[in-house]
Amino acid sequence: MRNKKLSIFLNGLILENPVLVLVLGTCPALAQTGSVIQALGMGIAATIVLICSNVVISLLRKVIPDTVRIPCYIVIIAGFVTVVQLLMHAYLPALYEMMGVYLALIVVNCIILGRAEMFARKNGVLDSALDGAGMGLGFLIALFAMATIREVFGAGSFAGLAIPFLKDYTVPILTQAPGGFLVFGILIAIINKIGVKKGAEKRKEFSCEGCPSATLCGKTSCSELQELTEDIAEKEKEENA
Amino acid sequence: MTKKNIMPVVVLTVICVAVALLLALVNSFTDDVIEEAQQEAIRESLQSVMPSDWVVEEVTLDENTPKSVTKIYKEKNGLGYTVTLSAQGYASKIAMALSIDADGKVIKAEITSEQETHGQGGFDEFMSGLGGKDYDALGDSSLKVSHATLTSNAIKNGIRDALVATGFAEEEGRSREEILGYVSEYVSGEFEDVTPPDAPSVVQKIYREKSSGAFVAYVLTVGQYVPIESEGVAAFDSDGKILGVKLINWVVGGDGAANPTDSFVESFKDKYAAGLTDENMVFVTDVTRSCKNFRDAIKLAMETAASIKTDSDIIGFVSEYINGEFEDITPPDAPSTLKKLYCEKSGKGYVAYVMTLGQYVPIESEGVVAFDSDGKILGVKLINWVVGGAGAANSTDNFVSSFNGKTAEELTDENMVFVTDVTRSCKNFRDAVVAAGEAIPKAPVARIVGITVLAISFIAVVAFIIVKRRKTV
Repeated sequence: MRNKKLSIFLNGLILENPVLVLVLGTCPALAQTGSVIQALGMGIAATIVLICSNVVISLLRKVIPDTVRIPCYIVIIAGFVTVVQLLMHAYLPALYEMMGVYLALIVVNCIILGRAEMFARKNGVLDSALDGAGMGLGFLIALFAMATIREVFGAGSFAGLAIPFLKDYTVPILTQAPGGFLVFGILIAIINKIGVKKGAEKRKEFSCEGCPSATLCGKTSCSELQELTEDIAEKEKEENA
Repeated sequence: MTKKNIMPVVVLTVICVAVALLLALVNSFTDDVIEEAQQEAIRESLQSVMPSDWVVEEVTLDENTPKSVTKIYKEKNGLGYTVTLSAQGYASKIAMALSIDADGKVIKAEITSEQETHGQGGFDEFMSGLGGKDYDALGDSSLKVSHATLTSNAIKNGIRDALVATGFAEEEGRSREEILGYVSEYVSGEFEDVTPPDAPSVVQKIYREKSSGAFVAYVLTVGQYVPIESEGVAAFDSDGKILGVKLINWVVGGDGAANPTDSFVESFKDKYAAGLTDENMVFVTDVTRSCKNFRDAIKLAMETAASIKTDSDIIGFVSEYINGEFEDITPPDAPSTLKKLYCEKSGKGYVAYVMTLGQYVPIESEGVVAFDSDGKILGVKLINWVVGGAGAANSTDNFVSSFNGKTAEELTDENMVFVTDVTRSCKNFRDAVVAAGEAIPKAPVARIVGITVLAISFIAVVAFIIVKRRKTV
């Protein structure tokens, strides 16, 4: 039981890292990783929204009808994003100015809606909170890694503090869009290479059970995905046995 | 309506209401904090001039706001205003901030940045002397820094603009609406003030209509016998043809009698600046000098208007060679021949606007040059190209073509074709283009090395992946 809770939390950190494995939330991942401070701000804001929205959606999972579940999720997520915005504007105005329009864009971050759809609406409150925390921390770690590389080698500083011996040998393109994509791609490649075996096998299948947006894209129905998920669980049991 | 249809609506509505209530709750305790934080930010930026107990809100600037004013903050309880502005000094822009009380008196004024050539006297003393002064007191001749009259005048004029912008003073001279109203029958629309700072003293204002490019010029000249100012407004189209002229306070004759003359005014119509000659005009009898003064003023205004070029005008000259979105990167220490340097934002290249002297006639020759991102010339356009003693405009295709495809370093005498008998003009222009090419920012070596290393790494990674996949297959 305890292991299951821990695995839910740890899943989002590396195995199913939302940015580097599931390749979700690419827009803020590229736009907010020009500096470490911005990346940390975005990561923390997204984590708070993820945990809160997952908890509330899990609480209301038996109340929200299927036909309006997406609008309800979006209203809940937008509400929490606005709360975070107001709190940041009031108590961290400098960070608020730095994040600009990307703070509001957390509403349409596919990680949050994706986890609400894939996990929170089918699991209990504690599990959903752990999943939100794991995914949020995984998002934060990925952004932090990208921002560190881009700021250190692109601007010769870390969190705004200049690094004396690197300042004159920077590669400015790393702080711009092309450099962002390059760092992003290289990190994905590294994670894929050193990724855990199970995670790597799943992704080779290229079928709907490996896709986090399966139900959203309409290729499978809820019942089919349920069956596929059960099949995978049985296969894992057999392998472990 | 079944329960199945109603439930989704009810649930969604309840969730929306709950979220709205949550946001209202959070807003109730963050609203004041946010307002205080914004006020703190304004106070920090203006702490040197704004009283600490003021609570301000930014006022939207309109087209009547003097151009030097950049921001106006109004104190919410009517205690006064804080204004930031940027005035043209002798050698640089002078950025200032000042606070004005509810009676229109300056509380405190400070210079936030300037690069003037003042050595003598103290600007601190001058600025502190502005405290407690209102619009009328600013005319006090004692308010001056010795050996820096132009600078101190610029500061006083800037502060006067702040008082006009906040309604504590009227703009000197005629208002914009008044001037444009005189010639509204000839031209109307949306106008912008394009009066150059170095306009001749008789040319008070020049406005340009945004869509048609037509101009309205307001001039002030001296009468013939009586040194009283005569005013007038002229409207002319974008090609420089006069649409109409209106005289204001036209003083002619020794007795100072107002006497607008229709035939004198009519003789301006449909003419270009070059056509306003003594032979082509009808002057009022016995007051020819006044009329000629006025005619000369109108001509000067038209020539000044013709020399006004916006950034889009300049870039438009070479739009066949390069287009896109440009930004002004003219270096502050640019050579005197380089008037403007623009960089295309996506890295396509650069555009330079240069001005040089002609060979025999010390009249300026202008030209616009388009460079690619490596500094190679894509094309050159000559404007007002003056060659030869007669001052005749003469653009020569061979001279212009000999620039194409070359970098600044390659523009040597051997590589160029110069117009016969006007080699000096051509060489002056060539030298100006070379100076412009040298002003283009060069990519530091480290960046080029870095980009090259990245590119090679990327290609290596892609090649590795392709080879690995082939082996797996």
